[in-house]
Amino acid sequence: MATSELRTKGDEGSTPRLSPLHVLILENEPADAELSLQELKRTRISIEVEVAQNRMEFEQAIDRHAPDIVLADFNLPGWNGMEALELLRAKRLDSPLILVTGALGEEAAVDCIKRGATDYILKHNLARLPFAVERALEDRRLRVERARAQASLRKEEERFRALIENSADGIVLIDREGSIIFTSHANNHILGYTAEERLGKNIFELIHPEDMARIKETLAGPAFRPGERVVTELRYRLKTGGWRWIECIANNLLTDPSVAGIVINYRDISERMEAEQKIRSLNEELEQRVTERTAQLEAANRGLQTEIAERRRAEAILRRSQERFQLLVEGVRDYAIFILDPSGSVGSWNAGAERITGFRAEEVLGRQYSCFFSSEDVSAGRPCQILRIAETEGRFEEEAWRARKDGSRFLANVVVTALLSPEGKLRGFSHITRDVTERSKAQEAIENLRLQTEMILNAVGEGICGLDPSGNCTFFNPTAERMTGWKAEELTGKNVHILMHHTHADGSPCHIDECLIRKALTEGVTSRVDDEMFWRKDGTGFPVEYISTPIRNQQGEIHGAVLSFQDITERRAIERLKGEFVSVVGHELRTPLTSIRGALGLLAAGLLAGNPKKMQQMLDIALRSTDRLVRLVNDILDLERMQSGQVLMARSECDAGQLLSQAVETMRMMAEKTSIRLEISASSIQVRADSDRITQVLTNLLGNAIKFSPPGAVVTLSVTQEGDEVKFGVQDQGRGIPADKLETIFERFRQVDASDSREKGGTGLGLAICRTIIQQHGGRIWVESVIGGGSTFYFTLLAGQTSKPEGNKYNA
Amino acid sequence: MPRRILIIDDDEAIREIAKLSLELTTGWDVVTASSGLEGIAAAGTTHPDAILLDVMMPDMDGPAVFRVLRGRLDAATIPVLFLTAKIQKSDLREFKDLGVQGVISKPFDPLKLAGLVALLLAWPTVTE
Repeated sequence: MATSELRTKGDEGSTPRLSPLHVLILENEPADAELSLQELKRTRISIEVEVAQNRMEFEQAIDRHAPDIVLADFNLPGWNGMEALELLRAKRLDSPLILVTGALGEEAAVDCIKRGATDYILKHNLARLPFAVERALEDRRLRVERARAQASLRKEEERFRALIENSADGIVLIDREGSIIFTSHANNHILGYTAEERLGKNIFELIHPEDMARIKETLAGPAFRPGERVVTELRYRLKTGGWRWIECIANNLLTDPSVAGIVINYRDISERMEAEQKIRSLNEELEQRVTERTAQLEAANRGLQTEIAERRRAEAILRRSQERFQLLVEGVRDYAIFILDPSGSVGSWNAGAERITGFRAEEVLGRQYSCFFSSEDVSAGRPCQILRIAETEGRFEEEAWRARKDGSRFLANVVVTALLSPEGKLRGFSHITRDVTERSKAQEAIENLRLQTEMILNAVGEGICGLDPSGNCTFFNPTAERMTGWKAEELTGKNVHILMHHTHADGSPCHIDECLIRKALTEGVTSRVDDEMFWRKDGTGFPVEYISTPIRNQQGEIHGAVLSFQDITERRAIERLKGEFVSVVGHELRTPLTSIRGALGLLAAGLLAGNPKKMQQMLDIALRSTDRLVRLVNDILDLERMQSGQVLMARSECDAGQLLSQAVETMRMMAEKTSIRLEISASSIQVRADSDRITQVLTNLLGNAIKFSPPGAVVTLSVTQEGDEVKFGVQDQGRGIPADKLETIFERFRQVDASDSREKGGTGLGLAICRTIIQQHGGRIWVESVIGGGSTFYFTLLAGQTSKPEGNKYNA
Repeated sequence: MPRRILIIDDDEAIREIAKLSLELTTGWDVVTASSGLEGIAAAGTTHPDAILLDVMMPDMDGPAVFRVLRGRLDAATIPVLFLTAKIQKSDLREFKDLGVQGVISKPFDPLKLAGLVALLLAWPTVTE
């Protein structure tokens, strides 16, 4: 590689250069390099030349020193000029490269220029080289200057941009329609949008609806002409929602070609707006307060004036009232009203006091008020006591006897009130007395009448219930309480129909509209009912007979009703028993009559004329039945007479043993018929009894024992004394009586077996008669029995005066 | 074949008189029973055309006997008349509810008994 320093003659050329032009020649033919060098020297430029013969030397050269211009042969061994150009550019060198070549087709040459070669020169036309170099250098100089200018412009722009971007105010550029052409970063922190979100959007779409028309008019209206500037305030929607007050300064630069838009500077004025708002409201508040205070003062003033007028009026009224009050007290005749001083001296007097006590004012003023008490009360210290109570309690009241001037007594209602000074010091007492003697008498009379009425109502055997006009209970007597289980206090004020009369006997509800008790209240109708039910508190019912009667006042208006009622459960039971008895008696009487009527009927008709045996049978039936009928009638009448008390027991002292003997004597014949042995185990015991009746009882029991004992059996009669009682026993060896019949056999027509009466000739009334007789004697009758083991009938009588306890055995 | 009547009554005299009355005034065949149970058995064996039934009987009364008879295949359709001294209004109501064909009261006229039976049962003539 050869390097030579070249300096052109014209170093002082139009383009001042401090260093010589550094030329790198890439040429593998040294001769050709020399030729190029020669040509270059013809330029007026001071040059220094370096020659590189191959790629390696070329690379080293450009690394060492960036050439101002490269002259490169196109064809190099294994390389070419265009590749050198690429290497140069790869090393970021913009040195102009001129291809110097022996032969290059026009097309290839154009291609090289297109790919970045600055020029090309044919070796046989090297004379053009200096011109080409100069042009290349001029080109490069222009390029560098442009780049420098651009860089400087870029820097300027960056500075402006930074200015805009870092400004606290937002800047936005819009076109005539309001579309956003540019928006600064401040947009992000003032309104929350990124530039991308807003670019191309219409600025008006996010303006507050209330501000919209005004702003459109301002910014897009015809009045806003190019070159003008407006300042306005508006609300703009935030990305996060809500509104922000902003102040805008808009410059119309639509006709400025470098901008061609409206530039709007804006800033957040929320705080300012808030502050203004606060000041406004503070002002309003202040004004309000001033207004109110003024009104208060005015009202207070007016009130004060009214109060003064009122007080004057009140004072006048009070004065008049005091005068009247004094007249009133003095004139009152029904009450003794006077003042006592703290010691009990009478300090004033009125007409009533004179009338009630008999003292005149001059007689009593200054005297101790104890003169109105009886001497016993005075010595008991009563007057002092009363004042002491009134002083400590503030007030004392009693109803008690007081004395008049003439010594007579009257019942007084007395009220003593302590009179205190505003400081609480005792100044005296007011003493008001009323004579209630007459009132008390009237009250006593009313009370007595009430008690008397209540006693009568409480004593009656009927339930009595008072009703108010709506059917609620006002009174309920003890009998009613007993019958229903309700207490008067529970029922008072409650509806009697709902609680006691709600359901019929058959369980169906009894509606209040059909209630006959209520009819007394609603229609004034008195109802007597005996086929309804009343219901007890425990829910059970009872058949009732009631009378519901309206109560009228003197004007004839209904102001209540009285309901009197009776539980007729027992009456019903008795009626039922009576009915049953009549039915049974009827049947018992009709049965023998049927036989008598039938037998006689057949005989009388002559139908049996040819049959004497049948005729006899019919006559026997008629006779037997007649006897039975007679017995039955006798027994029934006997029983009825005894039970109705028409027959009195003729009681006398008699010997129990003798009574047994008589009975045995009477029944001996009957017993012998069935070979029954009668035994008596008795001592001589005295009893008080109707001997005929007791014999009747013993005979009856003995008859039963014989009837129901098997032939050859023994019937034992006994009598023993047990304390005041004498016990008789009739024991048989019969079939016995079932346990459930032990009681009922003593009732009428209640034989163990109804057919017994006919078979054994009884009437079904024997034991009922026995029981009645024993009960009339004050004794008891019962039976003890073992089925299949015989029965023993017992009864007791009262022992007589002289009883001999030693035993004695009779054999019948 | 003559009609057959069954008389059920616990009173011997009345049984005898009733039987005699019917036999003497008609050509009917009359059988008797002295208790309810006996009567129920007789109804099954003698196949009567009608039954005269007493009401007040021990053990089993007339209504009880009637109910048993109505429940039995061999006797359910035999007409029953009560022959009774129990003739209060309430009794008659009870018998009617029970469904008996009729009631003849005691005492009765022996000469008219058969006629009464025929009338109550709507039989054409007494002498049949």
